[in-house]
Amino acid sequence: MRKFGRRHFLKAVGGVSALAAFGATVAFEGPRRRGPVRVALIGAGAQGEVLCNSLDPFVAQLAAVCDIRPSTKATAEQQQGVKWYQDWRQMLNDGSIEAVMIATPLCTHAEIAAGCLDAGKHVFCETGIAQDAAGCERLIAAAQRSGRILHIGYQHYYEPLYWAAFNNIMRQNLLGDVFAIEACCPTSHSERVPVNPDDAGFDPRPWGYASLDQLMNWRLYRRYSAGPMGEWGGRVISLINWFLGGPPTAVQATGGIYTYKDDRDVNDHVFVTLEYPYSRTTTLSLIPSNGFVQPYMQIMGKKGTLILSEGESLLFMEDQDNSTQLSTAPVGGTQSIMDASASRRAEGANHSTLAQGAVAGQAGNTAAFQNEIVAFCGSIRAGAPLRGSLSDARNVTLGCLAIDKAIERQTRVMTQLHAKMDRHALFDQDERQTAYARS
Amino acid sequence: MPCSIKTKDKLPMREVNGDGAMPNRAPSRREVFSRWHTCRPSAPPREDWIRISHSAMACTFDAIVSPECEPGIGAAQEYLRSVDRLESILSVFRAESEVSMLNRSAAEHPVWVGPELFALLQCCERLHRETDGAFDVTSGALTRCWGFENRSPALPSPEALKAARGSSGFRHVTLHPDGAVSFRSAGLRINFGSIGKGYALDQGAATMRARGVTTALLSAANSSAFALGSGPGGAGWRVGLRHPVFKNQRFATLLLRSCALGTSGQEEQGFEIDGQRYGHILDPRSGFPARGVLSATVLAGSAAQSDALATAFFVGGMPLAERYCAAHPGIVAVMLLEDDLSRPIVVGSSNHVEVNLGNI
Repeated sequence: MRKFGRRHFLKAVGGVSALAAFGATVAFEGPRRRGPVRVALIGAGAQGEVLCNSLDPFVAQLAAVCDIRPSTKATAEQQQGVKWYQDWRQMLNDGSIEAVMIATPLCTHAEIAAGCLDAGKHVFCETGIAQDAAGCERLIAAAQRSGRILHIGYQHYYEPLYWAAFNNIMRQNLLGDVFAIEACCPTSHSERVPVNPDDAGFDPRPWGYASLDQLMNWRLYRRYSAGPMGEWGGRVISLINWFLGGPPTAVQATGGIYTYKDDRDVNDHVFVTLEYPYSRTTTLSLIPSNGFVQPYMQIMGKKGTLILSEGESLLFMEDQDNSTQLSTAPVGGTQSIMDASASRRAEGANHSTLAQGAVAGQAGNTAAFQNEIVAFCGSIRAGAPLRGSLSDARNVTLGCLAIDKAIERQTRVMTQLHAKMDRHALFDQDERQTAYARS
Repeated sequence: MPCSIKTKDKLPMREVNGDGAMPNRAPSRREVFSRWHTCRPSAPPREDWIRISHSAMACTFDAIVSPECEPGIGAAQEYLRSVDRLESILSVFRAESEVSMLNRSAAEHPVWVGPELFALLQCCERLHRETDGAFDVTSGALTRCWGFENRSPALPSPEALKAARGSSGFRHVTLHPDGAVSFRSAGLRINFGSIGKGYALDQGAATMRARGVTTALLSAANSSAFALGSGPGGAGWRVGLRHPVFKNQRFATLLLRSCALGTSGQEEQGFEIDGQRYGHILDPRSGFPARGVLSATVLAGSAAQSDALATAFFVGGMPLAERYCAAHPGIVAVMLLEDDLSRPIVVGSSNHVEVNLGNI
């Protein structure tokens, strides 16, 4: 799967268990108070697998898996203590389950999330919040009604490098006035996945999917998804909104189905210009390219430029000849942060470490998912605040809808979102969550 | 540089304000743990901090800061900028640097240098004296004669070596009270290769502290480091020492709190002729590559001092390390000798350092 900030995720998860990442000492001590949060996964596809692999047994325990595909049953039940349900509604009766993680097609988010909230479950819902504005409002209302936590999974809030870019660079105004951001999220293949042979006899039509192929490739059909802009571009827009302190005021866009004429009805080319308050303009490109082009974002200020990329993140300052490289460094645990040796020249790997060294390079995305789930569980247990509010998530969805409209009408579209913007309330939490934390 | 032991970093507790306003940051794993569990885990949990890297002085300078420390990256930028500035003063590879100008002219007439360079030369003179000449920044002619300066090492002719030895030595340098420097030997060359990085780290640590960063790890070339504060979880900065021969093993692990580290070894630079290896660290007293020690690591209050002493102990061996550490409490040396590759020796002790020997 190819997502902004997630390219190597599965590979990374294969290499380091959550237990190892946490430190064995910690895990063996076990919880003393209310224990790990019992969670159910709804939607055991690729994204669901990512979430499951990011569960830390110390903070969250998988209790159930819900998926309409019977092929997922055996895999789920292989794990001790995990029940399988074809219909997520059956899972709601299990009172021991405190929270759900939803990784289903977007078209089902509003219904499932609202149902779970009403049943008293806390909800971690993968991006985005819903397919349309009404769905967003319905879900937010359900969260407010239920008194439970609804968190929309935008992992970049929990990616240490992005957090540092926001907290230590943008918020400290290191780049000076930022007037332009360029973001590029290229695709190198069609995104179409084959049907799992184990599902061959399964008829998904009673569940609302026209065919098994459409179920597996739901992102390529408007009926189930928000297209590439909603699914992948939304993450980038969420990041830009975060850095610039609010949603765009207007958008212009072009796009179409130009490369992959394979029955899909969502655009495979999209190029967007987003206008933000205070004369700031950003561009976002989702255009098929090649595997060498890494997704990147270039934030250009009057005093410096920050390039955030999966390959290498760089900071260029006006008053410095050489660039500065930014990366994550795993600290804590029992691992050495560096292994000192005789002086090495610049071309040598300065920060290599022994033995666990391979882990160092894997920190990024794995950490983001793990951190986010820890924060979600921390919010359930201790009322800890979460990054990214429901209104932020709604603004992303509404921004993506405006982009669709701009492409369709070939015109500049005002988002009408700026009225809600507050530059200084970057983490304006939803009232419901605040009330929950108070209680 | 004076240094003190920090108490364990205080954990930021839940920050729900009286009016119910939410803080703008999510808790770290450590914070979540502290609320959930009655006893704290024995090792701090893994977290991802931010590494800021920059090329200067022919190596990589790093700073590792917490993403929760708001001034962290800005302070690191300022530190790296100061490294660039120091390079323009201290590098012998830049014709216009202050030290290059000094090397060109100080034998002809006294040269007035800036206060930073003068203070560094005073520091070098003191360390030279204290280490019985094992540390000597004036052996640039020897380094050049062996070809290490331009990275094309070769065995020098006896005549060339004799000439280079004759024009090396701090005894040829006069530091005048008014800030001027003069050489009594025409071929004398000052080269700060064994102390410049450490000096830059000390300046960087001061910059970081002044900007409000309480804990960070600054390092250069993988051989010099300044551990500012007590590291993640207050447990100290865990730094391994890589074995110079069995390079995929470490022979010791150190926990550093508010102190600096310098390591000297020859495994990265040197050459071989007829099965005989010649390393790049020269004994200024004999003019030949130092022998007997495989790795010398020194922990001290300042990175300039730990860098210089690591070189000195590499050259002077165990006798110098033992004598120096006995006379200077708080200095710790971890030595690995050619005689016994598997038995590192710790000399001295300090409250700022814990040393665990073995491949941990």
